[in-house]
Amino acid sequence: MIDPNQIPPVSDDELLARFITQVKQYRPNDQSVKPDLFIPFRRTELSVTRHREATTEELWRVGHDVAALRQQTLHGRSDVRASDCAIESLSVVPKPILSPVERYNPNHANIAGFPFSKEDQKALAIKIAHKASKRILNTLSYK
Amino acid sequence: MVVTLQGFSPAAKFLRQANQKAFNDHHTAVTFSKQPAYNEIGEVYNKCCIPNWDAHGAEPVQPDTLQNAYDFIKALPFGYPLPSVGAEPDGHLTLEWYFATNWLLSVSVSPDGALYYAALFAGEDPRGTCRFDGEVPETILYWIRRVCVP
Repeated sequence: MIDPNQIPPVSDDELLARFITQVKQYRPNDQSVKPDLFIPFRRTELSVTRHREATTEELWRVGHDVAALRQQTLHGRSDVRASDCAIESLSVVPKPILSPVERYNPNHANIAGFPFSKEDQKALAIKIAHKASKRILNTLSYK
Repeated sequence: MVVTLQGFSPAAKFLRQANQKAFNDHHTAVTFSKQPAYNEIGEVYNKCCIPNWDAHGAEPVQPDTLQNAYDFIKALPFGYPLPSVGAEPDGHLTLEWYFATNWLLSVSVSPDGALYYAALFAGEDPRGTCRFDGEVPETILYWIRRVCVP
């Protein structure tokens, strides 16, 4: 994981993970993710986890912690490049979570700058979902 | 006044019943049935009608939203494809017509009857808001047709 004392800015070529905790956030027939996965709520930001300096195991651990904290099932994740999120009014900014310990994630970042109007949020979410990977399943032994 | 009198005449009553029967028969025929969409709306509603259904502070889907989504599907003219259904953290139900990740339409149904839509057709990204008053707005029908004829 990223050194919490030296958090670098998010570069365009970084991969970001968005964890899938709802069945309806992906399409079962082709495993592509729906725009619903990238709709922010209340805030105009959306949580993602940076791949940078994280092992696959660490990434999945974050996902499982997120799901466990919410008492939800982790259905997988979708990866998207930072440059594909920095569109129109959006930017990706580091937002490390250092406490509480059960939410510790120095790789946490926000896609920030969503507009307030619902239709504009949807349009941006559709564009991000188009660039995002299909659902990635956790194939590691611990699940 | 004349229309009202005609509406209550035996002939008008017969025609109304015949039309309703034809509508119901059409509605329940396997080929044209909208039941799968109604089922999916109900399934999503049951899962998302409680506060914090995503354990991240989501608003519950309101009964009025359920009714609007149901009425929207009911008002969708025959021959139009059915959407897949989802929910958003603000409690809206989403109706999605999908061909590919760069060729789709998503409509958010709200409890107050506002429809928020956005679509992607390669480089074209229409978006907007319509009111739902029992009939599917022509704008939405146009975009549904665009999804179906890429």
